[in-house]
Amino acid sequence: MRETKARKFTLILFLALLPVMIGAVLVGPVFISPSKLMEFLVGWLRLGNYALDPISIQQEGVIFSAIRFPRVVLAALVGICLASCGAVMQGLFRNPLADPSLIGVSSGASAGAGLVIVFGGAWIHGGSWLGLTFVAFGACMGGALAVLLVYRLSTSSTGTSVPTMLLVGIAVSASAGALNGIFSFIADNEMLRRMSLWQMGNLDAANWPRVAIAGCAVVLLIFSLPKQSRALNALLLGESEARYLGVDVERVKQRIIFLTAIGVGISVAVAGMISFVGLVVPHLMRMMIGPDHRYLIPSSAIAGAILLVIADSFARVVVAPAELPAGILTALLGVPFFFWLLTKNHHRAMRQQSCP
Amino acid sequence: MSLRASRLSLNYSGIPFLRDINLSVLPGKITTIVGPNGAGKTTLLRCLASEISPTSGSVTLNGRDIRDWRSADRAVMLSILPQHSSLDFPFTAEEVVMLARTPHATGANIDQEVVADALKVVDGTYLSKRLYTELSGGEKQRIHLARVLAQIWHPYTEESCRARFLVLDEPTSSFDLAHQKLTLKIIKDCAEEGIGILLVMHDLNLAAECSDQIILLECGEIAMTGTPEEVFTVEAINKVFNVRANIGQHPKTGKLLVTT
Repeated sequence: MRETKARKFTLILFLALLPVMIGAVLVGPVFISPSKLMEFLVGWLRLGNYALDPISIQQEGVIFSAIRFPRVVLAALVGICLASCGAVMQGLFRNPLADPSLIGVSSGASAGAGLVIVFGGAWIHGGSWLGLTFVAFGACMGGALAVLLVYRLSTSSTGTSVPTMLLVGIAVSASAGALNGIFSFIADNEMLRRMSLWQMGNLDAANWPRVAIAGCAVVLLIFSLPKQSRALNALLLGESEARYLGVDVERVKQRIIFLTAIGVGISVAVAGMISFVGLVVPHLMRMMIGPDHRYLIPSSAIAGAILLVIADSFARVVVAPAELPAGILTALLGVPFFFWLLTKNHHRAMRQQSCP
Repeated sequence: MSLRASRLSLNYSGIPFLRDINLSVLPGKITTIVGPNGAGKTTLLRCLASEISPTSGSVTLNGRDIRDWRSADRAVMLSILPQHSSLDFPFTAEEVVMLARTPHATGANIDQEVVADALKVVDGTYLSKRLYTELSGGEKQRIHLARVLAQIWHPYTEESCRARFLVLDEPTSSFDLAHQKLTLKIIKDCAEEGIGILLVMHDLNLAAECSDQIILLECGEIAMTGTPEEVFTVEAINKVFNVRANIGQHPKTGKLLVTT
């Protein structure tokens, strides 16, 4: 049975997440040995009385608790947001190539960040509130504005038209891209570098307030997205068919757009643009366990977290002590696996065709 | 207990698509809409499904306006098979039929049973583990037929007393001879169980064979309604389809036979 297999697979992914995260905490420019990690954890629980070699423990302890730990948790949370939002977007658009960026979140956020970087001035660059820089706020606002615009323009008295939304999304993304082009044209060299680095996505600014913000988004998604999974399954048949099956299609659309805007908007604000996770992780999961959203949403969420945690660990190690943007590595790591799956499925399809 | 349209009219920017349609689908009876392409058959079905709001007139399900029903309550009474379904995601055939149980809360075991039964009825048991996207056109249509059957399938007798309606838009269009015959049998069996059935069909002989009532639609208006013998006359077919037909009787079965 596919259902049992899907359930098992999701469980295995879930069990793999914790070891992956622990491993990720250990690696980086400064390696933390597992025994040290245990000491820190025990020390955290007892608060004090653990210092054998105060200086080195202190240094590694700070790296662990202020840098590495929040960063790994943030990577996992952002991965959950991006991949689960990608899964429901593909369901809503009934297109496995859909992506949260289709409703304009990413390009809007990019333009918002560009605006702040270019016109914000020096005091705004450095400034922050609630652990978020003003660039992140600009990105969040830009993303929200773009989604609102796409939603408004594609909704008429007869409801929201998904094909129109796709076209409006392309138009809004294009204008946000043009806006971003203007900002890059005006920007000086330093600003240009910041803009393009931001667009590649990076988790190096991770701190506990950011983890808290992303955590709120993840809690919201975990409680609301699975409720839509049966409706999303019915929607794959077509909007009319879903309506015949008793699904309130308009309400499902509204909720999913709202949740995706929040999930992706917050991810972009705390980690910049991380491509590929939202598009390919759900696609990959669909190839492994089938399109049933009851399993697709949780398994995509966990797989997204694993991919981003691993990618971010590589980002820290590959060119240490410098760092690569995580967005580059998600693609570098995921694409070969994706190709392997594609060719494997292609061969299977060919075999089935040749001998019925 | 009926699915009824009264004085139904529909205009889009001044152009009339449906004019003054009255029809009722009764439990246990088979009603078939026939008519030339573009006569408004599918539009009429979409009005009955409350997918399009009519300009005037009303559609009632068991005496209550169709838009006043809760959508899940309506879905367990009224099941609709559209002409085409586009599903591009690799569900197995079984999973596609299982989607029909979305409005039900009967639990996984009963759902499994219903799905297996519905697949058996359409001769689709051997397809159940295959991927929907890899099936042929006729096989896909059979899976969808099983799906709409599973949607109003009630394994318990007390629930099956409730009024149920099945609306099928060209259910036989891509079937081979054997499966056309099977579909007609399924439709008749459903009617015998007390399900009210509304069909859209192009094959007049198939329509004549199974229907209790024929509705002849022409340019959004009902041109004629009655039993197959009353409606399928040389004059009526010539007027609506602009074809000279011969009406006869099948030499062996005695059924109405329309040939051109």
